[in-house]
Amino acid sequence: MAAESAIDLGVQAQRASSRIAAVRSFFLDPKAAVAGVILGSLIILAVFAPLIAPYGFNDQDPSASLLQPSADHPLGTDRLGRDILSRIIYGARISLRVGFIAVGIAGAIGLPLGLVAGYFGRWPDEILMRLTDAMIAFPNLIFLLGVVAVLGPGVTNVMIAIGISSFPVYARLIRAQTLSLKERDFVLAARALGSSNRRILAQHILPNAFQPIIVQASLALGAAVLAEASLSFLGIGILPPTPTWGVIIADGFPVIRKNPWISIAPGFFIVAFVLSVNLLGDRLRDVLDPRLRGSR
Amino acid sequence: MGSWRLLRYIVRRLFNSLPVFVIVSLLAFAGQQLVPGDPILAIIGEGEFAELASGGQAAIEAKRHELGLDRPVIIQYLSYMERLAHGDFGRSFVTKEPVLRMIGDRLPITLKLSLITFTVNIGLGLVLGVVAALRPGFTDFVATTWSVLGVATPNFWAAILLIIVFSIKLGWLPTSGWVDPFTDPKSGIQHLILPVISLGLFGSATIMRQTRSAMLEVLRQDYVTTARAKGLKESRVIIRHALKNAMLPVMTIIGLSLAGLIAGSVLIERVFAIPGVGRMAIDATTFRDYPVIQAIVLMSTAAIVIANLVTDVAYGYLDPRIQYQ
Repeated sequence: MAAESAIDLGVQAQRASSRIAAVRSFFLDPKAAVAGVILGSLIILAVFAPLIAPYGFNDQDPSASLLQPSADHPLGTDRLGRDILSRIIYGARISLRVGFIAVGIAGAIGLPLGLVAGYFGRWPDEILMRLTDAMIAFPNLIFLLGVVAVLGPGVTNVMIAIGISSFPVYARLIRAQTLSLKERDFVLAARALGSSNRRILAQHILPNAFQPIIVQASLALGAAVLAEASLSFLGIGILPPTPTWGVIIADGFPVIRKNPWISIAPGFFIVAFVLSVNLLGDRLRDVLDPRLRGSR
Repeated sequence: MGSWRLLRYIVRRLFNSLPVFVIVSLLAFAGQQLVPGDPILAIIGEGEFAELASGGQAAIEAKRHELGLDRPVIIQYLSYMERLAHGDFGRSFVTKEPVLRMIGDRLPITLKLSLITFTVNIGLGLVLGVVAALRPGFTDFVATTWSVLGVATPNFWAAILLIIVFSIKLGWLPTSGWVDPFTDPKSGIQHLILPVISLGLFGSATIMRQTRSAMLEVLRQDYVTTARAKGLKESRVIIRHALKNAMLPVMTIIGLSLAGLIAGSVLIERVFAIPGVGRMAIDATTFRDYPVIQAIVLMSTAAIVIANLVTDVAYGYLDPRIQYQ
């Protein structure tokens, strides 16, 4: 008994050290390391916004309207005298939350649909393929405008709209994986042993199909944050005074002559976020599928 | 490949894209049905609905009957499709104008902006992609960095940066507005420069990236070495032998970039106050003007279907082994 638990502990320690080695090798790439630091910093900003931001996101001071950057307000203030830096820090919270949840919604819709279509084939597959063909070809923003026109603006609706618009990619990916996995020996063996379809899908196919999904999710995160920023900039996504990076850029646009920093600064955060998740996604793809290394 | 075969291919491809239209029209129709509240609201708009409501429930029911909303959903969808087939996209709730006429007024502006950007994108993307592939080192580094940044930068933000630098600080170019470059070339081009650069940022970056990697692949091939060994001029080797063969994957990206242009023009038209279809789409979404949104959704689908078709036809030109079947 003691020997067995010692072996167990040994195996666990080995797994943990191989995980640490994998993470270390992941960040050996300098681009991935920089991207990791940027993404980590942005997440820390988002999580600890109330502790980090010098002011509240909606603290108004009419006497401090449109101030230039100074020691008190490093990025100046907007028309209502709100501190831009604080709004950007709080904005990270909402922009990132929208990004993560939208990607989650897309996965939650796309994964089951792709699994069922790939595993059972026939008409569910046919319908899914035609639907996703139409949706993938479609300009994303136009689709989002349509969905927002139906649902209305707001944080939740924007998450749902972005989630709906991006699920086809997941559905297609997991379908393709399922198609190849369902003919593999271990799945045939599970079937021969009498496993139910649900069990085969959940325990054998889904875990093995997960790698490309993780890569896609990391790349989709940047796209989701860009989509939110675009909708909010247009005034049809998340509405003021809620601070998101897109909302702040839109707020500053009419007064770019007086204080250009209101519109300039949030853009750097968007670019930093999208760039870091894209680079990490690329690195993840390289690590998970070394055949693709250097192909881009 | 005869022109008859090509024509037959185009007709069959258009016929094959019918399911896409049916699905998109279904989605557009479903959107109208899913609007919170009374579906009649989505068809006549809030203004007219309020007027009707003042006449009591009977007036609303009479309107519902007149519009056929008391019929089964499938019949409603079929009659919606019949109206579309006759080019009847309904009237805007806001302006009360026929939607088709509204789009007709604004489409030329968006088309000019998009096509000029599309052309610049292809030129810039191909040239920079080829240069980056041929000159590894600094040029390659700059071009690759730009392509990575281009993909991560929101085009509306890039547009604002350009306005701040070139219009406000330097005063070289106008901040906004639209002048037709075909009626007043000088002012038209001045008004176009910033919108085209910001709208083309993403497209040219992706075309450049794909061209670079396709060229790197092709330049390693034996036939390029052979062409050089034959003593052909380097420019001929690059353009006729390498680039033409590298163009297939690039064509796919060029075709796909059109969808990005349609979406991007919505944002760029907002930043530069260009009165095109994109601006109309934003206003329609703000006021929940469903007939306008539906028409824009369907027309964007048509644009994408046609772009894909043109891309596929171009494949055959670039690679004669591809048969139109």
